[in-house]
Amino acid sequence: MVLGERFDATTKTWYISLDGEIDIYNAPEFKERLHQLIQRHSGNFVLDCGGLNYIDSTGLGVLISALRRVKEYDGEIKIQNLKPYIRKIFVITGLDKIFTIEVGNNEQ
Amino acid sequence: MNSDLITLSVPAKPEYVMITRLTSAAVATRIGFDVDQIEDIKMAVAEAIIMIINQLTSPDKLLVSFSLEPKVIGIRIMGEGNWKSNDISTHDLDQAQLGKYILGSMMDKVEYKIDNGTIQAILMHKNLGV
Repeated sequence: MVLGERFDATTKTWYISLDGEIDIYNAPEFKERLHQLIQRHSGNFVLDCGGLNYIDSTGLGVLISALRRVKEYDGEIKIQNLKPYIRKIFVITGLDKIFTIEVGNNEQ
Repeated sequence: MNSDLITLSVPAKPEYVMITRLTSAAVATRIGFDVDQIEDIKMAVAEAIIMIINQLTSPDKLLVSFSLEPKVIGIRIMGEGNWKSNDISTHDLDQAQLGKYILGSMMDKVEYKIDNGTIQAILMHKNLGV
C-alpha cells in the first residue's frame, strides 16, 4: 500500500492516492494514517484509487471508519478511478451507496 | 469421480493470507477458471480467512483444502486455536457481514460451520462456467 497525500487549503480537501493492495495485513497502518490526516485537517477527502489493485473487507472497514469520522464535521469522502473489479466489490457490499463514487479513467 | 485434494496449513496470521490467495489462484487456474472467476475465488478465500482469524483470540493455524473436480472447485477453510465466545465486537460483526456479502456473491455455494456462536469453518464451491 502506497499512500500519496496532499492537502488543498483552499478547498479544505485531502487528495489521497492509493496504490497496490489494502488487506488485513496493512489495513491497521492505513487506518492510522487516515485518522492522522483527519486530525491534522478536518477536511473532505478525495481518494484516487487508480493504482489500487485489491482491497478486502478490512480495508473497506477502514474506509467506513474514516467516513464516520468525516461525517462528524459534515465532510465527505469521494472515491475516484476505481478499477472495474474493485468497483464490483463496492457494489456487492452496498458501499457504492454510502460513498460518493466518481467515474474515472479506469472505468471509461 | 474422485477429486484431487490439495491441503495447506498456514499460521492464522494476516501476513500469510496472501500466500493462500495466490495458492487458490494457481489451483483455480488448474481447473480452467477464467481471469474474472479466479479473482472471485481469490477474494472469497481471503474473506473466509479474515472471517475466521477475527474470531480467534489466540490465532494458531488455518487448514485450507482445495478439492479439484473437472468443473468444480471446493474450498474448505478451518481455524484452529482459542475462539472468542460472546465478546465479538460490533466492528467484527460489521466486518463479518461485509465478508458474507462478498462470499455470497463470489461463490456458488457457501456453508458456515458455527460452534458456540463463532464461525469455525467455511466450505465454498464454485462451478466452472457459471
